[in-house]
Amino acid sequence: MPMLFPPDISLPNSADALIDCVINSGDLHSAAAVYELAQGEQKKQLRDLLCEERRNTLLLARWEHTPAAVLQMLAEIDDETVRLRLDKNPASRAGTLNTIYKNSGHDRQLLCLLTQHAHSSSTLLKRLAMSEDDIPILKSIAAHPNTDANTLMCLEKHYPGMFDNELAVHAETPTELLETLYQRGNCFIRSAVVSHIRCPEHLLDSAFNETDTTILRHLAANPRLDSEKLAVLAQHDDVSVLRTLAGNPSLGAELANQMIQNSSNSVRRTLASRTDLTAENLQRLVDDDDHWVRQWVARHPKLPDLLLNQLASDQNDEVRRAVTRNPQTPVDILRQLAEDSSVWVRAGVAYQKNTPADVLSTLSEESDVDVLSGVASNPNTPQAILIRLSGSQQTDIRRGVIINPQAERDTLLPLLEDPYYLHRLLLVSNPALNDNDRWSLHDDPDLSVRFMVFKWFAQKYLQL
Amino acid sequence: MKTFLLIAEHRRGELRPISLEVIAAAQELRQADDKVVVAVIGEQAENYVADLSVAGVDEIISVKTGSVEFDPDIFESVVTSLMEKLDPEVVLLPHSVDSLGYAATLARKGNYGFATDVYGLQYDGDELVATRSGYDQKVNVELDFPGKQCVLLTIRPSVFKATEESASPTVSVEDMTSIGSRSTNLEFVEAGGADDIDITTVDFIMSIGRGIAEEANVEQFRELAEMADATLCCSRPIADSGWLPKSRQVGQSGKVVGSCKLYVAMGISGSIQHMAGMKHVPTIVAVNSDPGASIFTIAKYGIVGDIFEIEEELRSHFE
Repeated sequence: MPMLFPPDISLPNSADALIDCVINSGDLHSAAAVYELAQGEQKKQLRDLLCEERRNTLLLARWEHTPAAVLQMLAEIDDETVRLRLDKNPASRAGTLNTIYKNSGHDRQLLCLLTQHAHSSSTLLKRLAMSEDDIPILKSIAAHPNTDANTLMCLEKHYPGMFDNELAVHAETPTELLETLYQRGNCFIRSAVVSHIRCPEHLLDSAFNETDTTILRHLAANPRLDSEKLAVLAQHDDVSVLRTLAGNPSLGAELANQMIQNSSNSVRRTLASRTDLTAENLQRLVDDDDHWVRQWVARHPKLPDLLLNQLASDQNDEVRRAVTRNPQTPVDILRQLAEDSSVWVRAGVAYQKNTPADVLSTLSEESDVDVLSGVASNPNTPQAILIRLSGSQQTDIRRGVIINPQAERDTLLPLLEDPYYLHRLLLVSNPALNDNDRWSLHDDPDLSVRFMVFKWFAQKYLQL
Repeated sequence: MKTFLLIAEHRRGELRPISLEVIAAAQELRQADDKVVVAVIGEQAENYVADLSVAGVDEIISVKTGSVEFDPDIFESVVTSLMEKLDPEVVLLPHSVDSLGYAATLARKGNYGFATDVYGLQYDGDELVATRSGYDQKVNVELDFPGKQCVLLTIRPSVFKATEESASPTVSVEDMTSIGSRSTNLEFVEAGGADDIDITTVDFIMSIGRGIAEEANVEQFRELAEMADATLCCSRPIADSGWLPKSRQVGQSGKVVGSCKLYVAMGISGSIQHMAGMKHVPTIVAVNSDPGASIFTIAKYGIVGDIFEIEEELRSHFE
């Protein structure tokens, strides 16, 4: 690959110098990175560079990392293919989408994409709802989270019953419309209505008398149910209703502890993660025959040490593994599990933030990639071990060192030359490195690394 | 008439599926009067003959050696001996950790044409053309081997569809127990990784990404995957956090799920790196709350919604 930048070029000491460096290089992706920072003549030169060839324009219009300011500039270009790509690009902002709309010339495909784009504004969606009669376009508007209540009511008024699926789950749907939907809807629509945050109380009462289990399951999940209704639902014989009820935060300690004796594994699994269980019932769950129940309870934040100790000797590997992942597990249990026969359990210890340095040192002598990756990413791992692991042949282990928040500059410096581009990319924003370290990647052979370097410096100058 | 020599692989008493895929690869090249010979090497090589007796195989050579498992020195010597005897035009090996141990040496010593990780084969006139990837899988590279009498290729797994049609090829037995190894086994250490599932060979995968938000939520997707008889996999952030083993990671940093037929992506946005490991899957179902997520660009079915709500509905379905 030809060199884009002169050899040994030092870190530019100003925003202007940074932009000049990019302009002189002619590097497309670096130019995209600093575009927002530039003003006046420099901006014009960057625009010329970015738009010099149509294939570059098309590439940037689609690229997931292209900054919003560049996408906005591209939206001004009179090129339908560019507009289509911008419309599909998740990074396009509301302003860019408005520009596309102004220049769309009523292109149906463009309009359809606009109504599906996450950044389309409520104003734009309203305008489209008023002016379009194409059903798929209107359906997308009804489903769009940015569509406001007035627009939803307007859609219902002009196309009654056409968009019930979308309206029943839309967070902005007004209460009066929810009532209409409940009266005319099938069981799925009614289920969505009883789950809705704006569902009126009297509809919850009506749903309580339903026999359809889909509706009752959604009702059982609603935290607004009173204790009386919860108690009645707890007597229901459908497992899915009971399981959902078991996860309802409003269930209350008394009902939860009553349900613990339920014969359904899935009900007890859900209950096992509740924080309002009695010590007696926690013990019952620890002794449960179903290993998934024991797995869930092993992660319980209030499980006494005695019970954690019992589960640390469980015959099932995944249960012991779950003990290692409980943030409350005492160090002595972690020490015991660091010598477990299952490598997945030992890996759990290696990733645990409370594991002490001496245990991590012992685990660092292992050869398994999961154990070593855990050691490499653990903030308690001594620096000397991180230095050793940074030279590992295994990509995952080196990446563990890179994402370790305690990895020091000297540990990370050799990784600036890591053969895997993603690692170099991750290092660009690492706070342990200084600006000169980052700048050493400015002429990286990988375009995304170069882009990230220049973007990092551009953001720095923009924040000044 | 050309002779194709194929080398089968086995591990821990079982024939590896790639052995049958190599037979399928040979069918891309063979003409009616060509001969396909499969060699299976090991202390109990005869145990694999029945499984290798499939359509497209003319002869199986069961080579008895003194080593139960793969040994690079023994394999290199045996294949050299077979090549001297059969004088094949093409030798096909599985692209695997085993063949990495001896294929290059064999090709260099014999001055054969050589390409690894091949996933396309054809004759252009009399010239054998092999296709493999280049520039980090960004381009397909077609290679020919001018002036080479024999070409040795390693075949990428999960590309060529193995036949299930049985046949009755001739079977011969060679005793090469006298061939020794330069290395000695002092101790057998069980690999014992965190996971014993090879995700490159499974056909139904449920995969989770950043959308699951926290580690505690992994359990419910593990349960769901078990209920659905799917293998639970993940994107890089999940494996990097230690929430699932590295062996379950799909993508550029992880594995390519070559045999997968159905891939359900839950809360995966679809980075280029992740999609590199699964975009070839015929049926991709994506569930994501962000309608702009890149994963939808390759999904056959897309659901814009909360993965926990979908998980709940699926769970109720399976219950």
